[in-house]
Amino acid sequence: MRIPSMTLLLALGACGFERLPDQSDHSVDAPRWDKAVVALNDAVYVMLPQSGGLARVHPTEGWSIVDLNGLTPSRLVATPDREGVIVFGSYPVCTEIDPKIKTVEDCEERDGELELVHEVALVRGGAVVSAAEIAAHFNAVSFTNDGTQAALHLNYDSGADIEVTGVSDLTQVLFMDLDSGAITPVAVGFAADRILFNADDSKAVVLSRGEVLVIELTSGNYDIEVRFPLSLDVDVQVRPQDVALTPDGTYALVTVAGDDSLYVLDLEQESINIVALSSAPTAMVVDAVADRSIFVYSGFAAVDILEHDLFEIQTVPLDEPMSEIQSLAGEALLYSTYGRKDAYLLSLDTEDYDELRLENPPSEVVLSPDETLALAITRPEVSGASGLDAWYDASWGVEIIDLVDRENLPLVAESEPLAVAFTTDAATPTALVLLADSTDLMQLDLARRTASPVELEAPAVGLDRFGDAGFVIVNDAPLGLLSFLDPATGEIITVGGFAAAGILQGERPLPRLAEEE
Amino acid sequence: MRRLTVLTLGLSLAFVACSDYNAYERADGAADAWDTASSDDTAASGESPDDDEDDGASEREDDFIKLLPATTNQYIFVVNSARDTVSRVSVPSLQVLTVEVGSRPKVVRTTADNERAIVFNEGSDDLTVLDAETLNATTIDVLPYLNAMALSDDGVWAVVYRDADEEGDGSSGGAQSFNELSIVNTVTGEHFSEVVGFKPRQVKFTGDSSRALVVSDEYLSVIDLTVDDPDVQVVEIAEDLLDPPPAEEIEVSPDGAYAFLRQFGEDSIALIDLDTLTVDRLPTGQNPTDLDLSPDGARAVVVSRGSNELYVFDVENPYGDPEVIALPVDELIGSVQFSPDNTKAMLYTTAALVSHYTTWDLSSGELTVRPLIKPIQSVNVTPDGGALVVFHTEADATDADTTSEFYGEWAMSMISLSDFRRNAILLSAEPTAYADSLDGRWGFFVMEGKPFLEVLDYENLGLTEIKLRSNPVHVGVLTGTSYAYVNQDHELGRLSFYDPDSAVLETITGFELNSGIEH
Repeated sequence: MRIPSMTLLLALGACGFERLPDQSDHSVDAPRWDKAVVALNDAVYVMLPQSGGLARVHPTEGWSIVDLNGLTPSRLVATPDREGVIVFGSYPVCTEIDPKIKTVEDCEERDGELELVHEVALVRGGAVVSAAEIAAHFNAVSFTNDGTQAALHLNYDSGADIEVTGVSDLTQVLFMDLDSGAITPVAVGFAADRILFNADDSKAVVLSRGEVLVIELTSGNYDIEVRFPLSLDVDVQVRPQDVALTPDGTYALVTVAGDDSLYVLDLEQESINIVALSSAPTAMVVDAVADRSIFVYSGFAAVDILEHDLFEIQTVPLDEPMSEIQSLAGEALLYSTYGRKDAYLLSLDTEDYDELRLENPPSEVVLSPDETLALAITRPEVSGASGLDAWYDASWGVEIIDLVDRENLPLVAESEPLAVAFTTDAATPTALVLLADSTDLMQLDLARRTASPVELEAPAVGLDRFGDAGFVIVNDAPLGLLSFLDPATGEIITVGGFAAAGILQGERPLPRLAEEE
Repeated sequence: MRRLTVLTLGLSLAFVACSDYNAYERADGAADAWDTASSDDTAASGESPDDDEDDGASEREDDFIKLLPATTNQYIFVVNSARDTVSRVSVPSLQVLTVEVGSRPKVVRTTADNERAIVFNEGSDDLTVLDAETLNATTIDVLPYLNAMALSDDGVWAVVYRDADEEGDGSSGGAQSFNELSIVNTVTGEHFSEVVGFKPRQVKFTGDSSRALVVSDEYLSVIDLTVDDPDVQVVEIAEDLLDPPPAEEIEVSPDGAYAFLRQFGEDSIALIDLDTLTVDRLPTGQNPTDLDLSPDGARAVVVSRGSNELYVFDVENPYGDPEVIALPVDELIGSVQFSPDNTKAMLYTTAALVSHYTTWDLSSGELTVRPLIKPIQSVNVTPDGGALVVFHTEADATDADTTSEFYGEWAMSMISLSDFRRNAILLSAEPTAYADSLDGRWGFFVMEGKPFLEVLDYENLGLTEIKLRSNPVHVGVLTGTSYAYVNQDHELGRLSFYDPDSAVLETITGFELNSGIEH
């Protein structure tokens, strides 16, 4: 049985929805299907850019097209419970009002102009629950912890791709009730690009240019409770970069782009404290078990541990700078995606660490569900070594990190590992490794340190969880191919052909005519 | 009664302490430069004592730190001049609340009952009276062109005046008076304008806050604060009104009956009977350079540096013959400082590079000359009288050992006043601020450009160094506690708090941002 892979999906999970590939409107030049699929509990959803549709793909029910009322999806974001998907998209309307105008071509023949109307829709169980017109620039979503609300906002990092129709109000955030789909706009200041919710979802912390706002969510009025300035000088632009809440929700920790200042915002007493970090942080993680925050720096060989009582920092020197943090409940796994080969297992209580030396520099690290193991995808490096060392340096690899015994085992891969994932119900710890340009999905028995191939129907480009313990693999096939894997049995069910839907249409009907608007 | 002392030394040395003693309080709450000792330019240049025996290098201060925070037992009030706000820091929660006050607030003072903070806003010519708890504000207008504020011990009366030793208030144009001042009842909000002597130098209140004394070179203005409309009476204190000597120092007897005034270059002091408003001159020997009351208020002591004598007056009967004590013949002594227990006093000079000090046993009268590691920049007796803290000059005495580790370096000494053992400490920079805990157990100081809080344990004469996040500007102690705070360089404000008992340092930074928080 051949099983395609799903690398893009996993990459999406790693870098966040705001880093999705550019997804343009449907046209014959567009790809037939977008391999950044979204796996929900009920099915997998796939955008079809060429036809402008959204396919729902199920291992036993096959595929169907979701009726979006003419909306062409451009971005999909799964809700946290994986029960729904938020669909960003647009549909064309003709500026000329004429009942005879039924298609795009009609509009052009009657000197009309086409305009795109942008909309966000909530799809659940294969059907649209609600839809609302929005401005074009909204390109990111944050969810409450209970998954009942979403906040739609502009992701400033993708500034070059910000789409503006007419005059856009960049100061707004849209709060969306994920049950009813109702949307409430709230003015929060210029370029709000990060939103965080406190533990009980009673408050939203919004980062915007030069300030941080707290919005109360319990009354339904979305009132701004407090506005914290990050500078008192209008000439000094302080751009918040990341935000996290301390475990008790009392403090918001705000890092600033290119600055070693950590703004500690007391949400209860409504006051500001600034803590000086060792450098401008690359990553920040709050550990609820240790009640400490961890900061690493791509250009500074140390980790800062911040306690949440006096907000004092303990700086632990390292041999190499680190750029990434995986929280391990009281410990942290530090590694670097900047070409460093050290990794550190840091105890947040004792501030001691165990140093691991990976064979090649990692590009990604994935933790096992029980956090006893980690898999690192490693990449080739330039080296002056010879013999076996040189060969290893030039190879892609996967490294098994035993987080209990503090040791690591390097494995060489025949091609670039696109994604790794742990299975949850196997008798022994098992991981799946998806390799580029390969029709084999590697199954690693992490206890025995053995690998066995699972043959795929076509090379895989993405991998994601599906259902309770299964996986969906995205295959590289022109007309669409998804493979559903049961890792316990090794059974694979493939569903393909969904990308052919709608590509043979002639005239392009206007999905919503003037009288429908 | 809470008393805050700020001692400034040399060109930039400023010491702050909260204690019931060590502690002369100029009524405006700033350092009483007259009562502290410092080396001046003459001393720094190594001029010999003989060179200035006639009129002499002054033992007075040159300047004091502006914008000192004010404290109560649970709050610190910090003026933000550039933003027209005052921040209140709660201790120990370190909650910061910021309120708008008038334009260019210059000084904040807290009342002795810890219930109010009084802010003088130089730019808007008004006072803001803040309720310490609620921060509710009341604004009271004062006269323009004033630049200093003094607050009575009971916190009721504020006198806002134009201090001749202060820089102007930055105003320009219009007609200006150098004699007018504002008297404000901070409780009722009443404002009174009065005319006093030309260019006041100092304002002081009697202990019961019933009278305010405004000192200028020619006149002492006595303001009766017990009547509905404060009444001003003026007393001539200079014998030569055409060329009056600068008034340098005033002390008021505890019962408010007499004021003792020392003037530069005079071989006597002026005694003013505050009831009859008569002035008498009490001979004091040559070149009196310091005037002090003993802690029990019974004696007024004048150090006559020129004749090397102490003149001790009975405060209750100042017209009686003073006790004249000859000082050790080879010593140069220009300053006196009493221990709070009234058992001894320290005699020394800051006007020359002398590495000695003399202890004066008040019961036996014995004078003992004792060595120091270096010459004296300032002397402070701890609040319980257990130890003596001496900050030394960077310059050395002419006979100093050039191979000493201390040669050419800053230094300080802690000296036990029970057995006079001492701990001499080499410093990496000039000390800029100093404070004691009220119980006399701990002392704190900071140095120029050094991000450290130095903690002095007077029990064992030990020193602990605490790292700060930036260079300190000022150190103080929360009223009635051992809790030290350090104001530090940071464009958005930084305060560190140190509890020596638990050895915990807490720091808040950016509290001025709180003024921009919108609720």
